[in-house]
Amino acid sequence: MNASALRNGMKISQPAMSQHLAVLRTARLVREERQGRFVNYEVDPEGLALIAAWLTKYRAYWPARIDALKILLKDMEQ
Amino acid sequence: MSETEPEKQAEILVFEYELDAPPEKVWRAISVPGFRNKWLPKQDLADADPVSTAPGEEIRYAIRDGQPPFLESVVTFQVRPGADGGSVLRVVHGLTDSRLVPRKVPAANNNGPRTMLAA
Repeated sequence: MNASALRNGMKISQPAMSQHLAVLRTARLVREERQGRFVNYEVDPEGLALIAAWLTKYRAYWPARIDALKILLKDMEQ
Repeated sequence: MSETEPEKQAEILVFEYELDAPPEKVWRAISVPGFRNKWLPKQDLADADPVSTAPGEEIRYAIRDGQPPFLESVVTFQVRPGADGGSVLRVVHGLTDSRLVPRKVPAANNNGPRTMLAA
């Protein structure tokens, strides 16, 4: 979809939409594809997968680490 | 509590844990390397030295994922008193990798203004 199609039904200016898209693009959540005069935006599956993998890993990592911390706290002297 | 936000973070994970131990003890466990290494492996950190410290309250460490693409992030531990002499440990983990969170907005290829956070 191009930026104006994305704006349909939203009360947001074109420059504001461009800014939001720029943020999503640098976060690799969307990517742009030029077609002649138009720029189309689509979800960036690679970037999304990268971030999703990171989130999945550390979502499990911290609870496990905190379990280890609790054991340490029991072993430590006051 | 000091709320310093030196760099931008994205994709933040936030956890909050109630611990039986008092805040001073939890603080030692998260800030003294000898204790910290026992529950948070040194090889998981990008740097064994903290990024910043607010003694007794908050400590931040840089983390580098051990797997490609080795994404860089920062974890913040905040300790505060909890119920019955215990404490609450808040863990905030966000990506800071420059590939995902650039220091500034790249030169725009459109007519959008450069100000990002105009109120």
